[in-house]
Amino acid sequence: MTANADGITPPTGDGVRTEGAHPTLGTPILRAQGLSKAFAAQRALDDVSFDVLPAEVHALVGHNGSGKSTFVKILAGYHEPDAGSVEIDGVAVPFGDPEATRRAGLRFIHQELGLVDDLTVLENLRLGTEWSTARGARIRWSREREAAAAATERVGLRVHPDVLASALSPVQRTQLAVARALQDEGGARILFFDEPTATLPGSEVDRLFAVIRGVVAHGISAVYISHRLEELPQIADRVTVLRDGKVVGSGPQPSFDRARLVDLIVGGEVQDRRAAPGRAGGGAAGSEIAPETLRFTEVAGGELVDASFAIRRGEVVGMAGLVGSGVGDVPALLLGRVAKASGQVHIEGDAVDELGPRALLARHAAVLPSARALKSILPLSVRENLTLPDLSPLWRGGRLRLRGERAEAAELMERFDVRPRQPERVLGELSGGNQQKVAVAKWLRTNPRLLVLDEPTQGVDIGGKEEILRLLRAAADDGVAVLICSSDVEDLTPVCDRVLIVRGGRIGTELTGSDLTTETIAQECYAQ
Amino acid sequence: MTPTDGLETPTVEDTERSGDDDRAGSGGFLRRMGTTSDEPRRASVTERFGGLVILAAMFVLFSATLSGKFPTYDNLIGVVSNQTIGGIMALALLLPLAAGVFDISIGGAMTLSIILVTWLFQTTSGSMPIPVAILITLAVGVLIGCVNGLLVVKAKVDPFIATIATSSVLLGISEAIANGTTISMHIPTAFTDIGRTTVGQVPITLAYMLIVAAALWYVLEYTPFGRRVYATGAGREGARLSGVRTDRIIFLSFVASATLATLAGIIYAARLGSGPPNVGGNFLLPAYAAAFLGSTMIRPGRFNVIGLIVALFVVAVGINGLQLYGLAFWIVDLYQGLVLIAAVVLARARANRR
Repeated sequence: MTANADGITPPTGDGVRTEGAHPTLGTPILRAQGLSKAFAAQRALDDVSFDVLPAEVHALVGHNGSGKSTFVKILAGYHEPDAGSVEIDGVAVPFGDPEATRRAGLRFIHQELGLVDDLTVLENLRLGTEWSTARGARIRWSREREAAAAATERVGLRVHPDVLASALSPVQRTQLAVARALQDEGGARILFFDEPTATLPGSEVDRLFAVIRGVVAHGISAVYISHRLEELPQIADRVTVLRDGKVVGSGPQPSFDRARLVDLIVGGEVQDRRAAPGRAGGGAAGSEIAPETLRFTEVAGGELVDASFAIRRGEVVGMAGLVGSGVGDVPALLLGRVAKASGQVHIEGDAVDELGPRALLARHAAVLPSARALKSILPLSVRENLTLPDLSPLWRGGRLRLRGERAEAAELMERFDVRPRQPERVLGELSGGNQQKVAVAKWLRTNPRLLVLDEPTQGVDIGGKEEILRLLRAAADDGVAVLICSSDVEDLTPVCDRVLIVRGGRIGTELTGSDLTTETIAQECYAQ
Repeated sequence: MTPTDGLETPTVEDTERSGDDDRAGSGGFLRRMGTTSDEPRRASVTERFGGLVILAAMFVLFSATLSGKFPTYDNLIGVVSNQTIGGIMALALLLPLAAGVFDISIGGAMTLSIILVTWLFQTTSGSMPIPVAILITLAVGVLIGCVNGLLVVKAKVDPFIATIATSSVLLGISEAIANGTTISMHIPTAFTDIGRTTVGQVPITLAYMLIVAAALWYVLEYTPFGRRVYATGAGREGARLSGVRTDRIIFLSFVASATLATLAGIIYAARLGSGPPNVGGNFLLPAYAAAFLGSTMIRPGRFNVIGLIVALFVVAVGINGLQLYGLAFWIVDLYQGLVLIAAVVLARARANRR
């Protein structure tokens, strides 16, 4: 690889490299060139080139939406790219064929690992593969157990093959997933790890790295996808950074210090243009006197260890954090989906001990969960979804006034610009953005004084995103206290009066005014 | 497993926070892209009224080929009268199925009801006032529903398993009371009149079924409770997070189904004038066939009263015609089984097209 002065190839690094052997590290096993992929009008990948050398750990980093997942999904055979090629050992790999990529030696270990808890180690190993059978399809259990023990021991996992997967520790589970990926000897060439440490306790991370190092020592390469930049010096040989679907940096790990990585990930130039428009100037000033709508005092639960903050009437507050920081546990805790271990939650000054949807409704608070299937009920019509939280205004004279309900639904769809304007349409048939608008509309219909949203723009296209944020701003201007929890920092800058950064289960930093830029939010998220 | 599995599948694939799922790259986005056309995709007319068309077609066919047998007043009244108790049993299933849970115990509840109400008369030598006997029996029905509801809601037992188990318990209790006999002593005629009165040749039991149907139709279509039942069945956790007390909804659905099954048992006993053992089980499968077939019509994808009534008669007229062609007794079970299979396959196909 022809590196420039600081050891980093330019974004289009493949263009300047000559075919053939690497000067020092040998021929790449995998070579992806010029991969591009667009979904509708949105460009997910733009001329991405990437290679993997023998027995190296190549880290792939980038923020949400940078294209990492799309890239991995193309390699895994789930998506077909619009342009580009992938070769393994110089042989082109067909796209859109998971079986072909498997034959070519690519193995993917997803964050969730894909283990079945109620099956044993041996049975998990044999999921989707052939059993060793004797005549009459009788499984040769003793032979299977020996093979399983050998497969797990190769990755340093010493457990009896009949132990249930649910009994394994987090690292052991990862080991089992690795053992499964490697069990057909000689077949595996490259292992892809997708955020393997996101759910791992800190103490176990080193053990996982030992496992990965062990695999690499067997001559197998690894592609390591992670948010945790501090891990890279320990594990990565080379690093490639994606941003907005493009490779913005690639080279040996030591040439990327932390500051440089953050710069590359979030984009060097300050994006102040996003900060100003749309934000109500009065919000910050008004919040000095506005009453508190929601207060967390030293709350622990889920990933949160000691979270304290307050949201006031009429302001939009953003809450940002990486996966595992605890940012998602604020809405989950309010909904009662995560238990509160300690601390106090106050809504409009009252301590609320029993959290949950009913308690929130009674206190004029609404929380929108992140998952599509939870914030609304997809098989019901838009009309039925809109009115579900509060049917009392429609219940007159002993029956639901359906005509009035239809009129109200039509009016809400008009006001929140839900398309198509068909109240009887099944909600699941609407686009993600429109589903989200329905969810926002249904809760604003209940006249809440607090509105908490978890990932409100996930799966929503650009246009829909802006509209939803505009609706939230308008709600705040009407006096609602709005809290937006999001891992997509671009959600937060245009509308928020302030942004709270969650790190390690605590509120790390509060950003306001001119500090409130996409770049500073991302930097604070990655701060230690 | 829930009864809506085959109908509408609100997949909760993304319940977990997917922190680093590139927005544009997720499969969900693609799926949604495929469904955002501006054309409304409401159920087609054929889909909604297909059942009525089939019913009409059978009518024409049987009338043409079985003239003198099928299209007679007596025969048609017979078909209708034979469906009234089975119709109430099918209607009993509607609330639990709409709420997303199975109730297998309605057969057992009906059996116990038949035995209990007749035994109450026999054991008191007919001196027990009829309303008292009926109220005691209905109260037992409410109790059965409470037990099912508590098992599912509090003990978190799978509804299918819980109600199969209670079904067997109810049958055992019935056998203990009846002690292997048919209870037929001291049944007051005032009681049997409840099941035997006819207006012209139309049996009074038809009115009972229509009253139950109208009540359920009102509850499901025009009350907040009904709306919450559908919401619970369509997505329990989503409904809960929208403020619906889903546990209460499911509990009350079980109470309603057991009580209606008990009512069906009382009417059956009154019509027959005695209490034979283990009758209710025979009503279970036809009830499911009607409920599931009914969910594919009128309001496809939703368990609904009118669809159920249409489905009930699609099954009944079909069996009647086939029997008049000379097919033997075995056609009943065969046909009902095939209808249930066809209904579930239809519903599944509809859900997949989405």
